[in-house]
Amino acid sequence: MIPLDSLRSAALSEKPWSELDQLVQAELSSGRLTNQIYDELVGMTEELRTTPGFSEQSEDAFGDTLDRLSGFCHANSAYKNLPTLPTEEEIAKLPRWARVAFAARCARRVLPIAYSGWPEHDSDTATSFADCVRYAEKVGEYAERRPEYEPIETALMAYNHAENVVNKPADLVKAISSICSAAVYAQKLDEANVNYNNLYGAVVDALNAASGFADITRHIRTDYAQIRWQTTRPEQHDDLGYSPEVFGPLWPEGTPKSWPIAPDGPKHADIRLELVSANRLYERVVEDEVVNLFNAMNRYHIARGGQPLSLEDLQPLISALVPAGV
Amino acid sequence: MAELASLKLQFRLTPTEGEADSVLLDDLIRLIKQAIATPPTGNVHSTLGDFHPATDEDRKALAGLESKIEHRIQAASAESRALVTQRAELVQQPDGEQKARDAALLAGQQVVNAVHRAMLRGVIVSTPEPTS
Repeated sequence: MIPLDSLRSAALSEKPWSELDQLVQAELSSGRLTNQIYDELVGMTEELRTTPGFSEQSEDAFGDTLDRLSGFCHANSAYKNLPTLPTEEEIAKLPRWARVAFAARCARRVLPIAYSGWPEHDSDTATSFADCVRYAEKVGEYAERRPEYEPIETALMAYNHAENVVNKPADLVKAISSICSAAVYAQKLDEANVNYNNLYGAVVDALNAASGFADITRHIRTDYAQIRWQTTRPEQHDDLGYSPEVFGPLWPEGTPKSWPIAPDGPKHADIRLELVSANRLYERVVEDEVVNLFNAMNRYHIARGGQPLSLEDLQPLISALVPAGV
Repeated sequence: MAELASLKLQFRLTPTEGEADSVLLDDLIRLIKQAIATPPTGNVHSTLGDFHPATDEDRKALAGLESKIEHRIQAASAESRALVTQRAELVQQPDGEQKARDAALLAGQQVVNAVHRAMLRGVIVSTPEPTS
């Protein structure tokens, strides 16, 4: 909370921009979000403006601070949230299928950790982890609860065994716990005996499972922001699900060093693409979009440490012939 | 006299040198799929019929579209080489690894933006299953 007196003294100081900046930075450092601080400052606007000595400079500095908080300024000047784990309150605001999709995403992220600590000879158990993640993803995507699902029982048994019998490392136990929590939450979504502990467990356990490899707070926050954004789309409503694809790659900036490698990783030799002009032939538009997309993909490939891309086997296809004048 | 109704362009992307980084290509595919799963408001929806390879007559109507695209992409290859060099220099600097990761994050967002831009201009992008 920013006390009104502190806000007044900053806005009326000789250097109101830097004083207000210090106030905001202190709030951000404590884990508060830009929109929370913005709302709080807006709520004090009238009282601030009636303060004796409130000048044009104070007004400008206060307005600029609000702009920086709302992002109505150059991107470099905008205040940015420090990465914090989404709170239970924030997650509770998501529609139920978005909550499932978000829990599944957290579990998906730490799946390689669960794999990494499991003996190779017990492939059924390891497979059950992947099945649980896919199960939760599908429930979230198709917005439909599914009845009993055997791999969840297998994974839960593995969790109990890992934690209580063989005393497996904490990161492994937490990873399995995150996976089980996501699947159980997806399965028992509307039942009385499931609560946000399962959901929040999937999130917190994912964070803790990863802690020995990388701090994934920012990634979880980004995933939350992405799914939250999707819930606000005009065509979206509470009965629709969310494809796992909306989150994009797990590590768009590159996999953290020492992160375990999933045994069932992708095996691509190339990327195939198709671009179709939607209505009729506009060669110039298609040409521009192919080149633009190629350039963007090529820059990303290089930015990740790859060599330049080359375009191969370019082939035009035609849908139909339409008599002129029709 | 007839005019062409709809055009599809198929192509493959591969690294110019060395072995393909399967994880990196997968991330690129996922960026494309993310863009498709999160379309911009106001994008063009369309259902299209079957396509057949362009005939010689079709290719005349396309007025050298393939060669224009290939020419423009080749023209950018010098820039690509410069980008590779710049990145190699960047990662040598203090905090260079982190800067390179930040640059990759931004470049990834630009891939999503490029697909969205195409959608808004009436061009549908898709990724058929890649060859293994």
